[in-house]
Amino acid sequence: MSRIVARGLFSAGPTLDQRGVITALHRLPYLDQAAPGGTPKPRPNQVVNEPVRRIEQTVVLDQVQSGCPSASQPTTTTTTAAAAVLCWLPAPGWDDGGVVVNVPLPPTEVTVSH
Amino acid sequence: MIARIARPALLALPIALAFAAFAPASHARPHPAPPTPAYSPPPSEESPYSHADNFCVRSANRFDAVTSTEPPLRSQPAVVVWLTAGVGGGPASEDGDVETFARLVDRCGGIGGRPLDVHVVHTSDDPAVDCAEVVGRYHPVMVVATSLPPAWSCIVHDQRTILVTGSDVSNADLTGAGGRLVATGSSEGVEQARLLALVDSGRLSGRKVAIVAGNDATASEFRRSAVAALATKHIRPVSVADADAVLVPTLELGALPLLSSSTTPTSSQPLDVYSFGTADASVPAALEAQPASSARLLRSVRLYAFSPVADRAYRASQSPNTFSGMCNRAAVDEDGARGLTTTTTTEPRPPLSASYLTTS
Repeated sequence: MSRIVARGLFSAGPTLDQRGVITALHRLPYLDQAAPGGTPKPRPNQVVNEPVRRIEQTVVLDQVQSGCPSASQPTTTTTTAAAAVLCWLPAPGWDDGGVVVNVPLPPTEVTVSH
Repeated sequence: MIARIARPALLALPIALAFAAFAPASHARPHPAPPTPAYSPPPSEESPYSHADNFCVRSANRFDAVTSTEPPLRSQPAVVVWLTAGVGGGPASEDGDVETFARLVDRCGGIGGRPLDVHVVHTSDDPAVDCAEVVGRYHPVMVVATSLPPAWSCIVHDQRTILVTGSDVSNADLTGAGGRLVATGSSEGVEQARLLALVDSGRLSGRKVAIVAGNDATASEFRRSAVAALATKHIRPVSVADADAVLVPTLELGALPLLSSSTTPTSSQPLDVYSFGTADASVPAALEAQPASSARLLRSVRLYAFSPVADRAYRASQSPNTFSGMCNRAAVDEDGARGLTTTTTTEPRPPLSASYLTTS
């Protein structure tokens, strides 16, 4: 968020007006995201401020697994049972940054009433 | 640059449900296009704040047409209001992180020589009060909030002010905002994306897949989306009784034993249950609360759900990206400069704190 603010304000140029800031933000290339390194980018721009026409998501399939890290680890969701600590962890094959889906957004079905 | 703190103000797995509703569709809808990276690069960006390993390159922090010593730029600070939940309502260190950000920009000479005036405002219980406080008092060029605040519509529509948020937003919210609602993601097509990603991964290939959903409009939409996604790999849904994998819109633990007993898998493999809701920490918590029955259940069922990569738990379990690491180092350096660091015997490491990840 902080980087987006700084990049947007700088890219808006020396004349700081709202239209310039909106345009600058809209055009910010996708440099990084608040996600682990190696995570694929779902779209070319860092932010969205206009209605989107495509599904642009990076998703991770999780599985309930036992033997999770102890309570001090941030991935642990519960710690009450000593025998089997359960938590959601990325399923095999989904633990290297997730999967990008980028397809056209299905048109919204319009109901016409007469 | 100024950084101040103002004080203003499992689901209803419609199981029973739905045993009637999983009926295989005989006519799949037109196939959605397979996932393809449609990536059209935006114009290149020349900014001192865009480098991978440096938050600000001081030598580049100027506008070519304006020198940083010109009075007009220095006398016209960029006013930004950062809305936070304050004490007890969110990440405890968010205020501090914002102040660190403001100091780093200030130390770098502002934004191209323009001072950055950052005000941290804690949200109240009254969106109207927040809106008036944020816009009426400070007249910011933009408002920033990690989560979409209740006052967003007032800020964007009524006060016609830019709001930058770390939340995903819908097309309905973006429509009519005139570009002033700025989000780091879209909530459109989340369920479809998960369905397509799962089917495209091949995990369902050769499996007998049933769709279990209710009869309301939301469930019907899920079923349509699931059928369309399965059709991309020529998979036709089967009845629950014949299934070894089940797709459900959301997960309801109480319904799982019934679901499991309703299937007659031909192999000894557990039944795979894929929920297309968000992986919720309450699920493993509920399972652990009843260890005996949960152990039996997990021998017969494998539970899956999805999370976005921005999910805090997922992010915290992974190594941070370059920028997150850079922010962590900057924060460590900041603390050191202020004399807050005690004895450091090892090289500073990213704390993997959720709050840092949030603000990065």
